[in-house]
Amino acid sequence: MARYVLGRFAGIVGVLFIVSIMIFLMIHSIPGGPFDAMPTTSEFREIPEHIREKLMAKYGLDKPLYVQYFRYMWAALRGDFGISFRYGEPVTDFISRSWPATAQLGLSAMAIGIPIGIGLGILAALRPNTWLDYLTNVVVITTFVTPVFVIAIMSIIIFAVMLRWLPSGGWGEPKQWILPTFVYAVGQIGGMARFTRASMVDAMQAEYVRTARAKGLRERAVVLRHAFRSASLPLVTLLGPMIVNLLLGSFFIEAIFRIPGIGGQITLALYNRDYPVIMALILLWTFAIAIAYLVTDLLYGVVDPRIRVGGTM
Amino acid sequence: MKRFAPIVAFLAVLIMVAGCVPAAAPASEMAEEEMMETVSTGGVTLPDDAAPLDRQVFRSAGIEGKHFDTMRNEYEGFAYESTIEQLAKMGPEGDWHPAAADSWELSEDGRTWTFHLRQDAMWSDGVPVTAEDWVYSFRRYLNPEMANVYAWFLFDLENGEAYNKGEVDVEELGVKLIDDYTFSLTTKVPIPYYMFKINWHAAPVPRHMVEEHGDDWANDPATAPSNGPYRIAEWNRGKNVIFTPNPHYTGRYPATFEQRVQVIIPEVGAPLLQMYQAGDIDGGVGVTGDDLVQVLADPQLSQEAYISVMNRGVYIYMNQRTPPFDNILVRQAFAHAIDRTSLCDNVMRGTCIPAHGFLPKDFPCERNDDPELIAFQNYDPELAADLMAQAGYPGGEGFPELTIYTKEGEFIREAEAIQRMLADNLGVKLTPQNVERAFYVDQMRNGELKVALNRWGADFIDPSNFVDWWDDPAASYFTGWTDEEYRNLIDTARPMAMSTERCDLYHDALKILARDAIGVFVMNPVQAVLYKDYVSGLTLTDDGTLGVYNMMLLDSAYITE
Repeated sequence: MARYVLGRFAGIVGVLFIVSIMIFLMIHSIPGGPFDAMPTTSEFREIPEHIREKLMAKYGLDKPLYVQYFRYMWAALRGDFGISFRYGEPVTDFISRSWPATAQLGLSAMAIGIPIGIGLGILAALRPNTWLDYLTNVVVITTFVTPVFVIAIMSIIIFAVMLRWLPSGGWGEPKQWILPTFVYAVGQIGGMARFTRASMVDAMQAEYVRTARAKGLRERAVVLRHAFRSASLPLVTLLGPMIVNLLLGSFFIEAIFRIPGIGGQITLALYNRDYPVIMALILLWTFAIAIAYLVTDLLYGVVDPRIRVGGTM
Repeated sequence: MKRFAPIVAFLAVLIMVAGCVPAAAPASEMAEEEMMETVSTGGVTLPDDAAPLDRQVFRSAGIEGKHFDTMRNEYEGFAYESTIEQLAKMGPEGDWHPAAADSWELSEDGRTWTFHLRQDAMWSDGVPVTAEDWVYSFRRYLNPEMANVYAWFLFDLENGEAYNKGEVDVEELGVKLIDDYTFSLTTKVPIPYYMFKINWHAAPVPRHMVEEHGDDWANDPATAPSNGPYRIAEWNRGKNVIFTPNPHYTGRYPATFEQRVQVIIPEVGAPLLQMYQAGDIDGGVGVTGDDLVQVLADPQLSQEAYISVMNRGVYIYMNQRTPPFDNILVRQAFAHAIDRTSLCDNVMRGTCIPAHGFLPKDFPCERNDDPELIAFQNYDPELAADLMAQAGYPGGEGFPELTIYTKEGEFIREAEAIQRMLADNLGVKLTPQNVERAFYVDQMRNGELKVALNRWGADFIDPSNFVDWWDDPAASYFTGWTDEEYRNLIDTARPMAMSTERCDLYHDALKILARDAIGVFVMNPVQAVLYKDYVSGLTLTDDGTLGVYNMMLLDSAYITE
């Protein structure tokens, strides 16, 4: 087991290196650079050539690509991910101040969205093809197909503009958490419920469920301990990357609700050609997803004892 | 139904929580009991209808900058309206009012501006503001070491460019210290509108802080004192910047508000209009396009809207270095093929006004009603088709398929309408494509970009800003076109004092642009700027509009009951 995990970690390090090279090459090959035109201005003006050269030199962008790459990696290995062109602060500071908001939002959305999604999925599966199933289906599909920014803007119009119950955005006071968390959670319900329903419907027809019923177990125990446990295996697969996504945030939610997190930042950083931020965030993302899959694989063993990774335990 | 109970209960709790949260009460240093008259911390006796001091808070929205150093890069430094005091301020009618300078005079040759500073001025940390601070700031702005991307804005100063390129010493620069409270600026040539340029871009930096902390001084409110009515109290990254009255301010525009707050919004995606409607910001919200249509249709919002034509010209950029746009007939055909009235009235639902010339409506020297100017680019589909045939593309035959670019989500619908008109009237096929800024700039620089729906916005209120760059190879929007007659006209007009003669010259130059269809001029966007009805005392023009470039708008503003 330990050996398996260590092996996987070595793999993750390898993946990170490969990804770092790919991203580095990709971001430097898109047309346009960080100092091509005035930043954040309504009109763009070209930066005089002698000033541009100075800025490029200041940030080491005048060196050949491989030199830039090795410099970057050498610094990164020591925990220095450079300074954001856009914000002027070290990328590590930037991430450590922004990430808590994103993580809090993601965790709360998860705490609400996942149980509701699973609950709706189970409800629907228990009474397949009845009004209850159809009703859940309508709710699920509506939340599944409506883009999150539509829900976000609608919720602002209803709760902030019309009813005036909640602020339109911002981050800090608890009442500012409610709308984005709720909207974000709603976005998770659909997928979760559909998956749960599908695997629960299968599980409920399995023979061990009939056996469990035959033993005289209460329906509650049958559903939760027997059917759901087996049905949750596909959910674990779904949950890993979903959790990572939630923890890394959503561009739309964070932009619309003005949340100072990292969710919107990859997009903005690409837009601004803020190379250090792009690199750091994509590496972080890669790392988180790799870890999530590792944890998922280990969790399979917990959920289904037939699956054991890395040989004998 | 029982199974839904937890969900219903959850929703109920959510709604209750939402309802119970108390309304935000902005903190105030002076939340005392009601007095007979309300005097702000800045020392201003507010009018009778003013709300209590704890409600004298004005909130606006803006994107986050890198720092507060507006003399390093204006657009990276931010929130300067609240924290710096310029030498002079432009009022709503375009007249200049003393601010950090008590007075100023222009030398007889029209090149040297001498400023006499207010002698009791202090930084918000109590250190006096002297002419040395100002001189230091101008020199620093152009210092080659700073690599200031906006350095070119002061290239008009004598040796400005040379010093910035490291070719001459700082003593050669046209910035001179005369005594503790007097300094002068000398330009290469007479520039009658120079007041605007320096007062838009010039703020003193606190020399004592820069010398102690380096450029980091501007990253922290504690080391970034202000010379204006407000000081920076807090910078909560990603959330807001809070300004409170500067306790050492002794100038002409003392603080009326107890707090000014800049709510930080992301560069894209923030629903500004909804934020305003929800009461999370109090004003300064500019809306255009579909939001403007909504504002005009809303009984409440339309009351709070100040409508104006923006200082922006929207035109079709055509790369004239290569075919097909090196052919004047093609360009003229394009100019005559666009039904501007239909575009603004039908497609854009009144959110723009048609234009046949480049200067925005009501801009100094604007004469867009001149029939001669209009005739160069009026809508005439038959003439357009004729010109196209003469150019060798009858019915659009043989004309290359091109992409008409727009950038940053702007003018997408306009570009679609224009492409439709060009297809109908000329038989050409253009595909609209919206791209991000960096790509747009890159394609324009390397000549890949042939045609775009582009815009120009005023940097300062003088026609020179709209005409100077068309034939300048160093300019971003250079099309490859140069013309001696044009250059002579604008070079003659530039140093002249504002007069009808000067406008005549500019108008002649603008007619050349229209006649040769160097750009196809299409429209000026309209915008509404919203201020809540409880924001009173705005400094407006006699007509009740915001003015062309009004630096005094909020100087006497306050919150009413």
